[in-house]
Amino acid sequence: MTYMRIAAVALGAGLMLVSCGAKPEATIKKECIRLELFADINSSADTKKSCACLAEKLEESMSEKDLVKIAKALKSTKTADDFDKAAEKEELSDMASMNFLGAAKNCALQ
Amino acid sequence: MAGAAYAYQTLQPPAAESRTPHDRLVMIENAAAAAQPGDVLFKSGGGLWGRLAANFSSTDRRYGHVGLVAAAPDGALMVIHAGGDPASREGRVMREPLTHFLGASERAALYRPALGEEALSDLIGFAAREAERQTPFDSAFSLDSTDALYCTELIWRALSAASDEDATPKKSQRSGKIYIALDDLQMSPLLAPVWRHPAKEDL
Repeated sequence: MTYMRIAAVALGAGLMLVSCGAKPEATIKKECIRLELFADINSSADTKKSCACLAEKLEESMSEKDLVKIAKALKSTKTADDFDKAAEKEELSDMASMNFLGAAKNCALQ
Repeated sequence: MAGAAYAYQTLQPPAAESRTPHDRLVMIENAAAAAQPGDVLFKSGGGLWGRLAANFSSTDRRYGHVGLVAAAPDGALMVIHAGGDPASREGRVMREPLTHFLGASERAALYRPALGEEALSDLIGFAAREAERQTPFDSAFSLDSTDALYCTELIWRALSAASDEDATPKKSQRSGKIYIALDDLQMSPLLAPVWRHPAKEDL
């Protein structure tokens, strides 16, 4: 029970760190647009739509804990090229990164 | 945790020299000249997503996506692949002109299946049927389901159905999940490399 409380507090703290209480999926959408994550593969007109799609798909398929990790990694990233290191720092699991990629593939051209 | 954590920093392809639009055009023209229906076409992906996909390979991380070359009724070369669609926001198996497929890529490679004429027709027919059905993209990257497919899974299933054997006996595994990585497909005993761009590039 104590462990669960600690986990809940840690998750809550993580959420607060992401964007002052904003939901992680909202942060992911915002940071995806800032980093232009789909710029290389979609026209700029599709970037907002693709980022909204990405956040929506991730919310459907990913745990809150992994959503927070991705949101934190994106938020600490200066350019899309830096995301790799940020994801490593957040210890994003293989399964979470696979989910991240799977969600993105639904939302963008290759 | 380190074992399960996302292993990014190893076995990356050489830093891509920035290629000019002319280089890209030459690559696409050469690919179209070398390609035959039934060939498996690998390409490097665009930006972050291509890198993420490539990182699930363990030996060769040059490529981030794959499709099967087919011919349109007018003879134009098409590529059938499982990928995303920003218009519908739902990924699916689709076909698109080879020139579009390679549009944002800097690297590409063609692998030719060692199959007879009938099996080659079966291979293309399998992929074409999935494109007609618009089979959804498999976001879960699962080999257990056949009602949704990811890029390497489409080619693996098509090759295996056409050859009556497992086209990629060596499959990747991470955190207990078995999947077909791009380099698993490259190492298929049924496929032989016939062309790549750039022609000379160390891993």
